[in-house]
Amino acid sequence: MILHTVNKVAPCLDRCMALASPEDTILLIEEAAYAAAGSDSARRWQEFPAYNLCVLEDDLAVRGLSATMLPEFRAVSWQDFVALAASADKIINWG
Amino acid sequence: MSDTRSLLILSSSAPYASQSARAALDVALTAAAFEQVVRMVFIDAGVLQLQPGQDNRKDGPKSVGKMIPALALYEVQEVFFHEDSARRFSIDVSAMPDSVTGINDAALSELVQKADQVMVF
Amino acid sequence: MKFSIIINGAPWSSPAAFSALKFAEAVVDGGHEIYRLFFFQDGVHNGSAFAVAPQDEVDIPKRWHALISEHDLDAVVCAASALKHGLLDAGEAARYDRTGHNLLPGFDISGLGQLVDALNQADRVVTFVT
Repeated sequence: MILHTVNKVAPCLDRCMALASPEDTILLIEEAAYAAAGSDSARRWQEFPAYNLCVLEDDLAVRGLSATMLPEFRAVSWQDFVALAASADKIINWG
Repeated sequence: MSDTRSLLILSSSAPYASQSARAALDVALTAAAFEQVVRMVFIDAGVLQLQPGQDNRKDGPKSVGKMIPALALYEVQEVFFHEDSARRFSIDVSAMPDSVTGINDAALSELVQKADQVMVF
Repeated sequence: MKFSIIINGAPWSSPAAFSALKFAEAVVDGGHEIYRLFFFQDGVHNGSAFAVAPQDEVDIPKRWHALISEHDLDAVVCAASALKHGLLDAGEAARYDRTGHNLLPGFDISGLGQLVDALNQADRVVTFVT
């Protein structure tokens, strides 16, 4: 399992999604949190197989997105981020 | 270094913008010098680093294009350009250095899965 | 688990430095080891002894310094980036005839070979990019 972290929506999230495989986890951080919330973002994930999708809860909260997080996502803490990294085979950081 | 790991570098930034393009090349060359198995892929805006005819001015930034043939010389294992990106950015593939070969999505996916480390610049 | 953490962004200029700091603190809190912190490109500014954080903002260099001191971490600032961005220790300042030096204690200036070593020796590598 690869842990992909993505910190921006364009262009790196598209590239990450093109290269990720079904066993992988995608964690959205920083500005990429916008892609984990709101009805406009939902469209992007509809066609996307149900990979393990996570978003950093701090990055949602600071941007006022906590209430509109998409159902496909799990909000994670920094401790969860560390645990995800520890259990992955490797980590790829997209930016 | 006692360990040899494989490092895949995805160079996705345009040249002469941020320092990312140069940083990717520096890391590739250093890792190869330390006998790591290094593969590099120019992808997305990174293919612009392969634009032929980069005319470097004396009073201007250091050439990025000129560093690329050095990769093979300093034993970077394989250097690729992402074919779809080259099309999108209209890069003349016939004018690329001989040491750089095209790679498609499927082959790139495999490289990403297999590498011990992947760094994106 | 041994982690290497690479930091490419300057404090406050992008979220990278703060994300890296929070992650590094969580690694240590989680009982894991940090093999090396490698500050690269604009990331070298995290080692600035002269940065003055506004009172109502996180003092990122100070927090790094505290983490590094408390856990005796190996913190490397990439030499090429450090020189370009004017982050100098006493040795570099003398070598290049600069009037002062401004690297926080606990941060060492070294080459990209230390990055390659950090990639090789860690169980996991996490990079915080701008």
